[in-house]
Amino acid sequence: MNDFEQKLARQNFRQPPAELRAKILRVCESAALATVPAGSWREWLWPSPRAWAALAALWALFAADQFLVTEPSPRRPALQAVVPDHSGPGPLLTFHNSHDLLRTLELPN
Amino acid sequence: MPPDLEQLYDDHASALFAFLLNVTRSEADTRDALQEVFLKIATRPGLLDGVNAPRSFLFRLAHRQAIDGYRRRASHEQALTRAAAELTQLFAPGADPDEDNFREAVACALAGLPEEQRAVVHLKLWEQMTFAEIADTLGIPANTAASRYRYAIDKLQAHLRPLYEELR
Repeated sequence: MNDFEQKLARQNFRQPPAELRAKILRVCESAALATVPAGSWREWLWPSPRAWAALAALWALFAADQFLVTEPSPRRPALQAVVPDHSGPGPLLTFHNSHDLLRTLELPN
Repeated sequence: MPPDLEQLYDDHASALFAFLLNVTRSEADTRDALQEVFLKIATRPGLLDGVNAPRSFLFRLAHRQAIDGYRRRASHEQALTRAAAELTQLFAPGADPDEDNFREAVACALAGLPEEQRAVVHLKLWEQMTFAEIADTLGIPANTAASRYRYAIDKLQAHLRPLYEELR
């Protein structure tokens, strides 16, 4: 650098206004709070990502199985047979049975 | 890891403010650009991870922000009007009136340079960067940085010689 360049380099620029620091840091703080860090899910899962993935897959299989059990399907006759049939006069029979039982015991109903 | 923004601001904001003020020639654009630089870091905490020279990286962000600001402006004429209005606010005022005159002349001469030359001159003179560092910061070849600097210094010297000789 020659003398002229050194002379230029010695000129001091104006400092940023003092209030700008507080303003920028305040804006940054609120923006940072509003932003969900991109890596947060990865960090949360990080200790055992495979275990979490396996658990998620297991849960999905279980949910699918439940769905198929509750939804009658011709493809799952065996499962349908296992499910008790609550249609028909079940509750009425129960009521008659209890009425007979009370009469037998001669208790007021 | 999220960076300590307060520390980052205290370490680099003055230099970035001066650079942006010199490049944009507008206090409003400088404030906006400076805020955008720190907002980028605040909203992307990993942005500085693995960065060897944070100051150069911040200058690169600031320069991009200044260029975006230029593109967003409605017209070049508007930019020139604003620049002319704010010329005297570039440097800190001093005690010596002759030096103040020189500073004002330097600000005026810098305003006459193209933006790309002004950016190179600023990083070389006021940040003491090498041409390789300037090239990396501005995304240009080192030879281009060197030639821009030489052209700019020649112009500044031609413009300021009478006043400079008077002050010697």
